[in-house]
Amino acid sequence: MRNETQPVVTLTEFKTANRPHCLHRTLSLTKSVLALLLGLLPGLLPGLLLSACDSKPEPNSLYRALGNSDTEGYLRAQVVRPFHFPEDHSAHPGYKNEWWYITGNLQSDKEQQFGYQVTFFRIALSPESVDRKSRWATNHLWMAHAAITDITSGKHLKSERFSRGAADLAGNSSDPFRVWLDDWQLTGNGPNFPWHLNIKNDQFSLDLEVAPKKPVVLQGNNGLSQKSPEPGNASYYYSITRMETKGKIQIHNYQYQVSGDSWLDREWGTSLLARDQVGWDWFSLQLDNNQELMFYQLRKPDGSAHTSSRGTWVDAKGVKTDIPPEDIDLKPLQWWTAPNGAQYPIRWKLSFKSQQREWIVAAAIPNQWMDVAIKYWEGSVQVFNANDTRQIGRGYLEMTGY
Amino acid sequence: MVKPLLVKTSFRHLRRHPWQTWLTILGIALGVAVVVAVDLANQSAKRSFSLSLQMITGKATHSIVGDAQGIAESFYTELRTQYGLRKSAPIVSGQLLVKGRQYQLLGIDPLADNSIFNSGIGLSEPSGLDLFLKPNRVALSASTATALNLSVGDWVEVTHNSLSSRVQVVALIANDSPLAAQGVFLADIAVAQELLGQPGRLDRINLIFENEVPQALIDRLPANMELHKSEAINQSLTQMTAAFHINLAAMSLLALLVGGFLIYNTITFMVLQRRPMLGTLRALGVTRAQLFTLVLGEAAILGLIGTLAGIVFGILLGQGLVQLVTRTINDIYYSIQVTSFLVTPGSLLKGSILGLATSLVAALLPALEAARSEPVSVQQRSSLHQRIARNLPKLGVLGCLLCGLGIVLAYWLGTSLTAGFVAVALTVLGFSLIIPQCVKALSLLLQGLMNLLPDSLVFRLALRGVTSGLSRTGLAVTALTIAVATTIGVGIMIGSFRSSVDSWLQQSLNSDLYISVKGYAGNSSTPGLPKALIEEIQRHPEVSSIWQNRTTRVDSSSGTLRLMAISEAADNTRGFNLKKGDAALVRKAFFAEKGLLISEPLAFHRNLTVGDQLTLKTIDGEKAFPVLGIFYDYTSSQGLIIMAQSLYQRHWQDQNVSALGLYKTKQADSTQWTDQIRQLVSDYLQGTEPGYQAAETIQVRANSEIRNASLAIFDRTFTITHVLRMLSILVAFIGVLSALMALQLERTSEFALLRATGATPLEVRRIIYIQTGLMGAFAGLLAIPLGYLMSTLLIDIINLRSFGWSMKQQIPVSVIIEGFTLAIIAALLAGIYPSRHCAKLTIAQALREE
Repeated sequence: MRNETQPVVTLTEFKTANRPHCLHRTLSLTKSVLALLLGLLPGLLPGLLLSACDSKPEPNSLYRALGNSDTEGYLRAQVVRPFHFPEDHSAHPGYKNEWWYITGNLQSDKEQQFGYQVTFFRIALSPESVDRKSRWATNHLWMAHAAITDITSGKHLKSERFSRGAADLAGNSSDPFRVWLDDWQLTGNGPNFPWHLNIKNDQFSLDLEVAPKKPVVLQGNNGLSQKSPEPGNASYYYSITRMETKGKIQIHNYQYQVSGDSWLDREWGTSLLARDQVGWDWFSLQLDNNQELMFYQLRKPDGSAHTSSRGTWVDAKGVKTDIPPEDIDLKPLQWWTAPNGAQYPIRWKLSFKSQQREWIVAAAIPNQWMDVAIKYWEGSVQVFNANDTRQIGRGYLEMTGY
Repeated sequence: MVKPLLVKTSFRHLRRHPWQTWLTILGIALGVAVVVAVDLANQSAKRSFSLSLQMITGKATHSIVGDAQGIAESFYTELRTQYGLRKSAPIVSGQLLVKGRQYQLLGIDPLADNSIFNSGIGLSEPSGLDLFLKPNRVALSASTATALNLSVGDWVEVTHNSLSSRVQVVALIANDSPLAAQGVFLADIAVAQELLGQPGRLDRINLIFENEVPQALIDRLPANMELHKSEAINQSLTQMTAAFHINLAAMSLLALLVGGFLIYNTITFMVLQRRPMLGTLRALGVTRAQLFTLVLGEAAILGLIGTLAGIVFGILLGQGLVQLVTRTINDIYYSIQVTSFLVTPGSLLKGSILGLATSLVAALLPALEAARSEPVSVQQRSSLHQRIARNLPKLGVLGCLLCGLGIVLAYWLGTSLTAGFVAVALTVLGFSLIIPQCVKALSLLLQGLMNLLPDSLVFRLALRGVTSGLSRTGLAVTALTIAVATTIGVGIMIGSFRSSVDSWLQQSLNSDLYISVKGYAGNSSTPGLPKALIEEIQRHPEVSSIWQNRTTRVDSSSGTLRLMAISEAADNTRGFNLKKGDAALVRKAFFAEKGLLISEPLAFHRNLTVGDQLTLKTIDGEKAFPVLGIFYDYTSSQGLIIMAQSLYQRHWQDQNVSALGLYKTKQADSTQWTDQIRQLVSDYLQGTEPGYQAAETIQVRANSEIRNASLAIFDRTFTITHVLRMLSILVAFIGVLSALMALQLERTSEFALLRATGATPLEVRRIIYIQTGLMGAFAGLLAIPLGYLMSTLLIDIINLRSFGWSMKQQIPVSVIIEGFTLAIIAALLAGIYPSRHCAKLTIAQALREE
């Protein structure tokens, strides 16, 4: 049985695939998600959360605690499926996890530079649908993260939210397209683009409109993205690698008119990672010449790259080429230490062997640490030619499991 | 310095009089215990109360509460998704019946902003969020789980009104969590809505505003919702119980007063009894300072032992009392849950100071006296006592003045509850100063009577013994009088209260049969009786007329008030039990929708009278209603409004009926008729309303049943008062026992002389019994007027000011007989040991000691 061989997979997946958040070097991704769920309720199960950090994790007790390690009953990403848009922009509730992930680099009319990240996560707690009298009844949790990097003044602000997927507090719809958690909303023009992103919070707000400049890219094998050799440890994954973005952002009391390019990642699945994967370094780079590179390096406990690491090269016309793990070589050049002691590489040398290119990918500012329930590093990066140090692009980087 | 030898004499003396020593310690211990216990119970109940509030409001600065229908849940969604009010948490709450006991169900959204609740849910037992979100899952505090004999994983049946469900305990709440209150079932909000049968509805929304409340929210608040500051809610609830706590504290102070008297009494005797020995010690060269220290030190040690024992006993006793206190609060005010029994250092300190200080103060005068005494004078009656005896008339005058002052303060000067208590204290203190004079007067009167009767030497001797030792006997009689008067006073008060409530119930319940929705306690969302059922009952040939009522809560400018809307019934001759207003006129105006009636406590607390206006929040906004009359009502100390049903329906758009009163036709047989109606209701329920589980939802009760149930609640409410009353009697009993015993033992030589001059042992025993019996009788007699006075003050001043209830004073003869008997029994019991002792003593030896 799949479950027996891969007991760990369960909840994790939802981050696994992409952008995750981990606690500790010793923790597998799986555990980080568990911890995340535990962290949803800071007061709930405090002992568990602590023990997860302090001692060697015991997956079984954690699963028992969460009561939901089962992938039984959920749909699995096992075969290539046809994608239909705009329908597939909306949720796929039969799978355990799903997210809408948007990052982008923006500049104001006065040449200030900003990076931003917004993610909505859907997490199912059980596969069966809920039929109860109370409208509050649910088996879905929603989580959202938002962050803004004020590159010019070197500031990074972040925020997170949780909600039950019920009582219209959080959820999604396809026509009109809408994904929301409280007053954080991503809404379409009917079922279509442009999408309007509205994020408000005490310190900053985003009021942006995004519209694709390039076609949808089906990642992996026609959208089936295998994260480890085990069948079903995969997700359905598509991206829109370049989206025209304009609107307003506000940081504290300052408002900026901004424009730039954003990147959309959409992913859903039920189980993803293997035991021997502890974290990832996930690059989404937009080059000035209208080409894009996506590459995720899944790391093994010893820090080396897992063979399931993958990437995609998208040319100016939107044609994609798969990148096998041996084609990319990643070398950390400089480390940044987070307040909790975790060290993140914030400057990388990326060698793209088949294209004989060498780039330096560097954090726009060192501290873009997501100090939320589950800690990870996610931030705006700049891409330089390794030989002449000329900036040739921008992008986003997510690092977990450090 | 006190030499070891001196200490030894002290020790020897105590050992030679073990009875007295132990009784002294016991007296002190009991006095301290009562004060400590009541104080601890009070503190614990208060803390539970504030925890209960905290549990509901958490760290919220504000709450939105709805009207009778609660809050539509969509409003909360709107708050979060449209206005971005993220520091908000929805609450659903209600009562659950589990294994025969009431528990509070608290439904929360664990995913809403967590800081709204102090430290989150703090579930100590591993349990997943997903499990908590599943249907019929609850979390309990460990203590509640233990009380219900449940562990994680167990299922238990819970009932709300008629809705029964089985729920599973999935987690235990950590004991340090504010949600760990005993008696709380914590559930996900969806589960709570389902268990309470109220999908779509919230009971409140808690909010945190760091600064000002956004005007936007105030503008958008629907008319049927109100935004309250948490403090204001907590304050008004706290105020509600304040009077009750003051009452309890006053009871414990009364115990303290009695306890103080007795401690003083026993210590004084113990010192005086040893005068000969102290004189001898002086003659042997012991200095005054040494004697003073010795006496004081002895009192301090006894005081310390007694106090320590008292504190231990007080803590034990307090644990029992706190249940009673909480129950009373639950019955009359607000549902609270006892978290734990709280031992506050403050309460213990209070008890310690009482025990030690009273012992020391009591020993101070005798110690001075002992130190001052010349070796020669020790065999004579102490000069202290002569002085006291000389000053007794002066004390009497002072007592009269204090009494007068107390009464003037009570009736003319003060209006506050505190002033009321000061007045009671002054009156009791004043009266106690008069008592020795009264004892003298009574003795003289008896002596006069004696002259008319055949001469009895024994009786005469006994009587003279009482008056000659007035400075000491007076004290004992005083203590006993106060204790007995307290029981009489409180007894009269409760008796009057009960008979007022009873006669009010009889007048109020003048329908033959009542049909009501079960569990309606003026709860906001009580469903109504099915319309078809009401019509069917109306059609019944033997129902002469029916009377409908709707019980609910409405909002006024100063908080929520209970409201009862009633319809007119042809057979209802009840005149509303009016306190103010002409019954017939008021009735006419009332059903002509000219205004409303308010209950006595409401009138008292809001300072309203006939002709004033009361502003209520109706569906169309605020409206002022004229007060037509004030009626007696004992259902709630917070107040009740009665309004014509038509008027209520017009302003609140609520057509529901909570209860019916039925009148039978004259010719119908009462028993048969009742059975018929019960059958009708049960048939109806089974046939037409599958949602209703027959007989569980709707209850049919005869007026006598309701009356008995109400009186049972009344008696339950006053259990705590009875217990305190018994405790103060016990304290007095022990004190009097030891005081009188000491008094008689001190006279051993006197009795030896009597024996030497020819009195038989039987005669001596008689003298002693007569003497203590007389003292008991005097105390019992004097307790009657004092008890009466106390009850008058309790009824006219304390109760009225605490609760707003007025009642007719009634003097139950049994209470007086009980008090009087109690005094005599205590006194006679106190005579047993001395009389045996004196009858058995060897004359020569006793005289030699002299």
